[in-house]
Amino acid sequence: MWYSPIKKLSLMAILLVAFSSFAYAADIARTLRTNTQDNNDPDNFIEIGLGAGVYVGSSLTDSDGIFASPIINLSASYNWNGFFIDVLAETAEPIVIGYNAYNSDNWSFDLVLGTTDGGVSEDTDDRFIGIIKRQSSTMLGGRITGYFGKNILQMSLKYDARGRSKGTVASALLGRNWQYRNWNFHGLVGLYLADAKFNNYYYGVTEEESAVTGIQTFDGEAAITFNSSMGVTYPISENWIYRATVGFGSNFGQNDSSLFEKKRNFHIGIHSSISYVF
Amino acid sequence: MILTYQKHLASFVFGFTAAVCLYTSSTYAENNSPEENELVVTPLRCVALRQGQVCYQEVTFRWHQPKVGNYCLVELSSSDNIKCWSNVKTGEVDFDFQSDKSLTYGIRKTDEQTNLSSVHITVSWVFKSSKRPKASWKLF
Repeated sequence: MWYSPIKKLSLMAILLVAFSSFAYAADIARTLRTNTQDNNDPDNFIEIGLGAGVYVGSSLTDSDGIFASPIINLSASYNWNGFFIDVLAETAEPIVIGYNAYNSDNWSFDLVLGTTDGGVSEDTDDRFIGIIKRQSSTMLGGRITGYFGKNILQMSLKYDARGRSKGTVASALLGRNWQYRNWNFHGLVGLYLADAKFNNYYYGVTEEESAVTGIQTFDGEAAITFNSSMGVTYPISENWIYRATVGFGSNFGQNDSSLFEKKRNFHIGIHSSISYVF
Repeated sequence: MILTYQKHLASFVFGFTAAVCLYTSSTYAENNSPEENELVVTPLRCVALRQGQVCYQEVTFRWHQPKVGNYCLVELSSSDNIKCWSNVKTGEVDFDFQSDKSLTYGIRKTDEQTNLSSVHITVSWVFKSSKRPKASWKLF
């Protein structure tokens, strides 16, 4: 059933979404992973890695929502005079451009602009033929981060500046890191709130779409998602690092969108990789 | 079928991890026998994840001197003795290196300050880290 090129592409898209679901709770994951204490400047880097992951959660296709896949890690961060750009760096959006506007001993405030992944389209699965493609959103907002020893608290508020969804999202994350010899552990819990406009754009089904696709109409509502992850990072050498992460999340049963073929109220993922850091 | 296929990929990733670890440890194990008046340590490098972190590394010091005597292995910045030996001309000690910066160790005759030979353990890291300026609002 996976031999169709379109469905192969769909699988990859789903896996990208699946593993990036960690990222809903991961704006601070990189800081935690590198065991940064206090409010330090981030380093400029490019990472390329290879890994594997297993994910169990909801599915947009006729699969059972259990996926395993090789994963190519590619992430980068560049910082200059307070400006920064993070690419696939464990943030909620794949690309985040920002400006660090305020710093104190314990607090930092960033203005951020990020583009989300798109949503379903005709390429996702054959049953979506005739559906209107959900475009990516350009989220503009701010995030405030507090550093308290090995604990990091981050809250963010963002609005779809391009206006496709006209939605607003907010998040509150709390993380902590530990070091045992050269093994760097982190734990992270977070709540992610998306308003009705945002969820309706990505998960709603209009009557027109329902008439074409046969998928039941659905009006998206505001929803809160819980995400958590625990992970470990080990420096193999000055340029190679090993990472492993276990993630768990729940939508508290707010997963009624008819776009999902397989609905689960939780997702679990395991991911392991080796990366080269330039 | 996909899951079976992925098991092989996962095995490859973990196998690759092990291979990298074995390679790095094998490079540390090269040519570590001391000659006359020499102090050697393996491995020579400790890698932390982030600049400023304490780096942990089990190291082995081996030394050899031309004459039998009383000698001490000393960390030079603090002059702390790691271990002392009596009436020997060669010695070996396993040591749990823990430091956030590179350190130099030397062999001295007991109660003397002259370094007969020395060796440097380098602390390096994957990610650099530097303090941001504090308490500032910036308007571009």
